[in-house]
Amino acid sequence: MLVDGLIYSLFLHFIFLSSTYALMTYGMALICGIMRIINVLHAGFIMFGGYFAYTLFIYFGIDPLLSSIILIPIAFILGFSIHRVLLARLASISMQMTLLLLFAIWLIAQNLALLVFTADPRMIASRLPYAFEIYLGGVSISFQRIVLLASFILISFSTYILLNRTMLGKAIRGTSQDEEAASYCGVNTKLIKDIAFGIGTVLASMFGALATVLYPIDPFFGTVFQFKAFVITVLAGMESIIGVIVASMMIGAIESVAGFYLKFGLLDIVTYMLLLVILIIRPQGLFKG
Amino acid sequence: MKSIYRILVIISLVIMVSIPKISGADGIVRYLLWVLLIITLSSGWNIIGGYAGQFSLGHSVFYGIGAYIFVLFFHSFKIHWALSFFIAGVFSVITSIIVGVPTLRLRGGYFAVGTLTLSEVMRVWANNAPEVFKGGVTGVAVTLPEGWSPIYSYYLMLSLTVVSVAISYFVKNSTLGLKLRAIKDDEDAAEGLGINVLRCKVAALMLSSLIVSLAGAAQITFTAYVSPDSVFGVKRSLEMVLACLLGGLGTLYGPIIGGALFEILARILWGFPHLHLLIYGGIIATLIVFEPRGVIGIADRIRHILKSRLFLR
Amino acid sequence: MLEGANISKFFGGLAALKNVSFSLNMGEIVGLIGPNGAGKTTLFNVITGFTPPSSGIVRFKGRKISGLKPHKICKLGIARTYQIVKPFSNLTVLENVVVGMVSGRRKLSLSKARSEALEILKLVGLENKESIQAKNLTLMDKKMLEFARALATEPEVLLLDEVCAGLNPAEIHRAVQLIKNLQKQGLTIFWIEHIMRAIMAVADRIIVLHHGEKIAEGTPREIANDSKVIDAYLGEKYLLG
Repeated sequence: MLVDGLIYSLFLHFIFLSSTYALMTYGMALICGIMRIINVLHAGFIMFGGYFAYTLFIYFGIDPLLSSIILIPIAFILGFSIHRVLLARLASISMQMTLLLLFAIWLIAQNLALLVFTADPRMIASRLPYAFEIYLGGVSISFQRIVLLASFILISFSTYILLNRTMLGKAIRGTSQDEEAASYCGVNTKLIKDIAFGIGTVLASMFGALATVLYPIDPFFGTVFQFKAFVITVLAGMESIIGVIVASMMIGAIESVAGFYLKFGLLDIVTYMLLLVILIIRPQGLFKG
Repeated sequence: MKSIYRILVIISLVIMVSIPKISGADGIVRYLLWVLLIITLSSGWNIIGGYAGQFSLGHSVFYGIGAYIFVLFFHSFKIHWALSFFIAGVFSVITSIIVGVPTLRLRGGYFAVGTLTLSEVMRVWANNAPEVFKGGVTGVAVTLPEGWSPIYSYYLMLSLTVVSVAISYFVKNSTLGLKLRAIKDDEDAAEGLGINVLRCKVAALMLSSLIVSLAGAAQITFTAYVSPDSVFGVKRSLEMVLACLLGGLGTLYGPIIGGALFEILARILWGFPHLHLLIYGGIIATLIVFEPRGVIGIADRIRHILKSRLFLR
Repeated sequence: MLEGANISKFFGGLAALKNVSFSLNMGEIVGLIGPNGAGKTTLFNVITGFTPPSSGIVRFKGRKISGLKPHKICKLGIARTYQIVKPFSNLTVLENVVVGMVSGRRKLSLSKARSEALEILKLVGLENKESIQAKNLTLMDKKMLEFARALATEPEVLLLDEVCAGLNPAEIHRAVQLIKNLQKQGLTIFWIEHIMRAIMAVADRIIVLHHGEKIAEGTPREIANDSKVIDAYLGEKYLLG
């Protein structure tokens, strides 16, 4: 009975972890597919979303779930503008420079947050109306995890519909697969790239806002997730929602099991080595879109 | 090398060598130690970031490996410091191959993010594994050999800086340097001409990591301290990039000028520890948008404007 | 010398090449023509190793080269030019050629390479422009530079991709003369071209691709009168005459 319970709770842990990871990676995978570079600003957007939700809660009592909805237009405009003004031109000239610029912007954002909010972790999770424990099959879990899981399902579904069933989604996928061909088909690839970056920003920020439901936020919030998002993005290949989910599950599984045995810090080395191996054998990811 | 430059180099070398002999120059010597350090690091980064055009965002990983391996062998295993240096370099070069081969093959920032994540991974590991990384989170003070004075460190750093700049010079004027310039310009065309692009990039990375790791080991002799945050941190990586960008990416003298400028900046920011990274990020962003070729680029522009003005006269 | 057997290349569901076979004999000039999107450049990319074939084999002097990396294939003796010129913009004309000399089959030292590079520049008529940065050249000069650079690697087979595009008649004539010259010097040439009068006059044989498939092969005269080819070009017969 004890072993059963252990497996069951590990399984629950795995489900929650994987869904969280997948949700956090969507934004990065989308931008990666469209711009063909790893968005190091991803962590910055997550942090932005987190502090946004935090501020709205502290000063206006607005629930993070609602904040994440409010974020959608705001984050979109933010991402769209950053891409249009700073990145679009640079990306066609030099990818390396674009990367460095994204990195510099992230640094600025992170350190501004450090100045304004200080390094103290800010916790609002405990003050939420659904911060209670429930029992699921004998294991106690915070209800927030259920909330996060539900958000994950909702967002995954909406993003899937957006990418696969709308004209916009088709344009985005077409542009990321073959820009020249897409422009021949009449797609305004410049605009599409701006839009895609905006959507990626929205996804990252929403994750940040939703994460405050469970985690405390500090300026280094995104950093922890960014590494994993990177690994998952590489594993998943780009453009594929399913790919991201499956890859997240793989990482989630590894972490749930190995994290049990390996000392903290060593697990990251193992994951990193795995990343290098994947880059050698199948850099386009396991699920080419 | 043009003869006037040769004379200037010799003069500056003579000056640098004689400075410690001047009495009361202790403060200058200590200041110069930091300048030499950043010049070395910047020259090292320049080989992979400037010549090869592959930006490494986590170059501190090699710096930290150099530092920690040196401490491990010199401090813990009591091995002679010169040999410890050598071993530190070897570890770093091996790491550069392990990271470089999978990531430099691909386009799209895998290398940049690869080094960045590794430096963070190492930092976290070092924080949690004091058996391997002496001192763990808090770091450890390193006892230097009997009778060691900062002047020894000075000559050590000076030699290292000269060697780094010399390596940079030889790479720039060698076949490898030419191939790297071609790769930077058009990787596919380079590959089609028979250039083994991956091998060239990895070679540049190996040289770069060697220089940076030796600097990481050498700086222990005057900081007498090592900790995960101080050697594996993002700040260190950024400083190398910033100094290189400031002076002029991909040039020979850029890292030197940039290093000197950077130290001045560091002195100014000394009183505001919270602003460091913010200002670094701001300067890098500004440079990228307006003048990626740094001081040398600005000098070129001015020269251009003057030339055309004089011409029109 | 150079042959491909049943080369196919798929990009996702799209077939860029379907069972294309070809064979070049030493010293030949073989033309490769076909409407836009026929797969010609894709075939070159497969031959030079830039993209692996989905199926089929490429053989050079009897040895299988499909699957090798581009730099190895260059070192074996196959060089190419590109449809849209790709010079090393920030390098001078001389340096561009030197790169070819130090990376190709011979791997000379830098000083030796410089003097030999000048010889090649004379061949293409660029000897007076050696210190000009490649980005400041005219289109014609850039194309000549591509020739020079490819020749610097001492190839036995030269793949030319639409050399004459964007050139005026005088320039086309100069390019064709150069190609004839190269054939005299023993090079085998595989040449993609749209400007028919240039290629028809010079090629020994012509292969025609359409929608990724080989639809005809023969002498220029045979091709010019082949109804399948004429259909493919849809009334561009006047060009073939």
